Amino acid sequence: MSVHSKLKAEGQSVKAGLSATVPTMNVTRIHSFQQDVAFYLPNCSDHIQKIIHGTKKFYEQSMLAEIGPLLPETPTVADVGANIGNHSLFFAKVIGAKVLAFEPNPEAFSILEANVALNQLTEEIDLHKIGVGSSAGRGEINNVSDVNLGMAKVVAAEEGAVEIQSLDDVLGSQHVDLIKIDVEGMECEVLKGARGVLERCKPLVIAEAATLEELSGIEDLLRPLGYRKVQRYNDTPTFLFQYGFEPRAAEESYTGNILKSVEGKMPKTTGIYAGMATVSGNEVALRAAVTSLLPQVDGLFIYLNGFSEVPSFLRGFDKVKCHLDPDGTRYGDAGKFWGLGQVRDAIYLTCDDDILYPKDYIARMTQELADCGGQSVICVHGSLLIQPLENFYANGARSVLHFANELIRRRQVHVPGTGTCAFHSAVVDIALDHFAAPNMADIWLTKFMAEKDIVSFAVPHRKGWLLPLKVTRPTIYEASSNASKGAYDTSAKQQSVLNEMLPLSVAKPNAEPSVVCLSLEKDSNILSALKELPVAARDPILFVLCDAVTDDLRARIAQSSYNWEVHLVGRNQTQAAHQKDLFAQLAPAASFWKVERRRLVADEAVQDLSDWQAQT
Amino acid sequence: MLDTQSIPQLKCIVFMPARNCEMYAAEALLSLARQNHEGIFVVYVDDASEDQTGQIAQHHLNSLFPGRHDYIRNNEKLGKSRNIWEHLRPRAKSAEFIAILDADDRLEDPTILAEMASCYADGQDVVWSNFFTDTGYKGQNSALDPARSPRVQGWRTSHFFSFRAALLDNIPESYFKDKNGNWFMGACDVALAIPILDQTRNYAFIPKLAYRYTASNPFSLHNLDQNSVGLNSTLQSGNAQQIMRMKPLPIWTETDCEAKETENGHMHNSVQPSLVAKPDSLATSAQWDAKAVEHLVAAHPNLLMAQAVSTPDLTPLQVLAFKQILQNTSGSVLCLGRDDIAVSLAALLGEHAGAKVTCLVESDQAAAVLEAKADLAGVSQRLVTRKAPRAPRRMGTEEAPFPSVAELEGDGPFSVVVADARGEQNEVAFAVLGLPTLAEHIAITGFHYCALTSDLTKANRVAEGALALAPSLTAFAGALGGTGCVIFANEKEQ
Repeated sequence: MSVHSKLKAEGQSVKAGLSATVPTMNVTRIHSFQQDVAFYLPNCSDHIQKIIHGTKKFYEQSMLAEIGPLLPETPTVADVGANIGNHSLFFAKVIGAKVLAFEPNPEAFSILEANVALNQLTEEIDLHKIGVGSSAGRGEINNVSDVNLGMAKVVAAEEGAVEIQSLDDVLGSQHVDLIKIDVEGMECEVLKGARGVLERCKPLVIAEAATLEELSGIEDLLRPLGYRKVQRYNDTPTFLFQYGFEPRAAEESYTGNILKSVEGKMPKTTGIYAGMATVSGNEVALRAAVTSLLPQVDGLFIYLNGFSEVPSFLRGFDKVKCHLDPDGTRYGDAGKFWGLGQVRDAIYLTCDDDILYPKDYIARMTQELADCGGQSVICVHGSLLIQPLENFYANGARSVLHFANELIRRRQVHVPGTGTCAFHSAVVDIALDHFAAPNMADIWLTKFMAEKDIVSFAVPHRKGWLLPLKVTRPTIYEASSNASKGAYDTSAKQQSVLNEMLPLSVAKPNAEPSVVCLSLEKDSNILSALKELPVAARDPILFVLCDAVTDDLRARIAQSSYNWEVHLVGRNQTQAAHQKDLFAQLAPAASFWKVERRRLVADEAVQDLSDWQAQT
Repeated sequence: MLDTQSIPQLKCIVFMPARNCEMYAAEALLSLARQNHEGIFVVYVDDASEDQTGQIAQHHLNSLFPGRHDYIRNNEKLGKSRNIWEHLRPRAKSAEFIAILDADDRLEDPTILAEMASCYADGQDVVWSNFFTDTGYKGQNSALDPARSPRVQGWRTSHFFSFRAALLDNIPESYFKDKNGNWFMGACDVALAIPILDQTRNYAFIPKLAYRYTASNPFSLHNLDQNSVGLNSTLQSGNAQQIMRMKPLPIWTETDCEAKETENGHMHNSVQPSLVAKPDSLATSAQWDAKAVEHLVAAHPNLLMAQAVSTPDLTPLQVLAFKQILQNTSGSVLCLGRDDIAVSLAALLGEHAGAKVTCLVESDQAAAVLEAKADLAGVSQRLVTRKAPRAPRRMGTEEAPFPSVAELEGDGPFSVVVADARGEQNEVAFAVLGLPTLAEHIAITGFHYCALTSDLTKANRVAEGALALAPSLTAFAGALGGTGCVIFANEKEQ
């Protein structure tokens, strides 16, 4: 049995706020990337409209799933050849981008306009009913087709009805992070008029090139600016172009070029280094992990647990510095922090010996770190605790944002996975002594962050960006989750350290948090209730009033796609003082909801946890 | 795990030819760096790339193979064959074995070079694995029979290919050039592998999908040619045909290393490999023919009448062979060449609803005669004719008048094609040309291309020509009652 939303059932508030141009017929609703998106699709013989209607997905969704995570937080996107708005809607609604959409074809533009209104994105998407070209002028639309609106293209014509402008003229000094161009063979004209913004902002460029001649024309324009092709997508070949960091001259270096691109955005930085801990018997995976990082860093520090000599393949690399720990019981996985004490004014990445890192790993992590001024810990793998916490490794203890899975937008996490972290050495100056017990580096780093008020963000990424490598030895996770009591089992110690830190919250001191309090009618209906909750914020905090905090309830939340900070409150259970305090702190900003006769309805706000527990 | 075993650290050159592959260059080198074989030296040739391939390659070579690579940049495009001659051959003596990794591909198995090294330590001379493509297909590489010439066994050694370094020194320069003396610019893998394979029978096939072939690279030859068949462009197919016809190099012995190299020059068309298929003496015996007739007439009552009205000059065992092929197809049949065979084929079609024989005929008159014969044999519902006037058609060195296929639009795809070449002036050319000419009309999987020839020698040449054209196919000479040739895709691994 599911919970129905009173808001959606009534539907009044949605319609009331919109203009008269919002269509009510021919609307297809899709649910992608955990977002509800509505498409006005009046002509289902049109190629794009037919595909969206048939698949209930964004058109070219697999490409969007790879491009979206490459963008910084709240990016600006120029969508040239926006057609009916498929890409604009994705970037605005899913990624949270500001979009400038250009579409000169009146038929496509009217649908685009309706789609923007339908999704209440008029603030986020600026519509431009103009053609984009190498310079200002006039043009006319050719090649109009009923079965493919996207085939229409603007060609120059002095007396034409279509106004043409260059991107440089339209954008002025505005920063742009991505230019998407799909203008049926006129891509080069668009790029010729965007030289200024390309040089100034070095945005990502995705451009369709149906033939090798078109591709060659695009490359001839982009190559002198330092761009290169990095990926090909879709049946109609579409290429992603990106600024390349590989050195072009002897005085340049890969890391130097990356740091130059983020100059002034974080504390003084002179190098990029990585650290890794390993144990013997893992050489195939170790070699893969090491070589995936080496071309991207100035130095790699490897802590060799249980080794009596350095593996021969590591000896040939000047960038690699090794520490032999034949005993291997002192620091264990925390050995990855060994190199931090040997660098200054550097970006430092803690890595694992069983992960294959992608070739753009350091560039992306550096960009993300710069976006938060170098003041946070950036990670790819992290977790949000389901509190109160009883056993960190028990099923249902936490919602895990796993590095191998897709994450479409960045998220704040409680516990970063230290196999995937990046931070600035001046901000996270954690000494090896801080790791008081081995093989629980994640928890010690979390403790350090809590003490220093440092937050951690998981970087958005495509599925399979980082890949797990097969190893023959047990991992720390496996040993601890099985409570094997062996050398790697640190579950009990980790729990005791975490207990001292609770409650952990993503609530920021000076920001209005997004807090939702939900009173359940029946605990087993938790997921349908979560689905109906009106939560738009990126990092919501959720209090759930339930009959009992059970393992089953925890597991349902942990295994769901709702990776939120969750605090469970049993109706008849005594709450810890710290949980009461957190509730008191956050309740004034919270919205209260309850499930009543399987419907989600607004509930009376309270300030005190005991009062909420007492509500019937 | 191999990393806990003793791996022979034989010196290995990995030759990486690269041109305009900036999207793939880093991954190729990273995949090589993951290999747990320690004795790797990279010879990387940037063949005048116009994109950032060179910058990406140099950065990764310096990071991952410090002191263990040569980076060579050509000022003009030379092609893989000339690069092998100019850049790899002079360096070959420094290694025990050589492996070829195209710079837009990658190695998927981190232990494959170590496994190859073990094979060389055990005395093998040529070692290769299987591959898969980034578009989802598995390669069709397989083991070679050391008892037969590699030149008659099809193209089975594409990627990941390696060989004992000493063998490269024995290949004359002319083997890397076409008949006009120009360096090969396509089928260069074949140009290298075949003369290497000639020199030894110590082969080892590692049946692993160890190599990822980037079939989607827009700059690959097969993607630049609209007439490509699978992963073979017209240029590659034509060159492969030439290469297969070169004189096999002699078997290599250790003492050959000391011998002075001599240029053998081209000897096109001089190869006469002994093919395995020979007509069995029993196959022509009256006893077998009688049994076959008995069986066929019982199973296909219309066949006797079909034979009577069209007299297609088929032995009972040949008809039996067609019956077997047709029985296994649910699709349509195309018949060309001598058209009188079409009526008998229609009578053999079996019970598949909708299955029919489409026959290409030269004139309206020929069509009327054939249709009348089909009517008499009671198979008119199973046979249609298409007017197909002939025009000269050339492919490489082969030329023959060939029926137009313009009228086939809307028919097919055909699961079985029967090209009865027995009445043609150049039987071999006619039969071989049918493959590329009809490529767009033949079913992608499960097809049989049957060429009827007047004797086994010609059937052998058809098999040889077909394999040169499309090395991934299997050609079986003598499969049609002791003569003829049946060509099909080996789909065991798909």
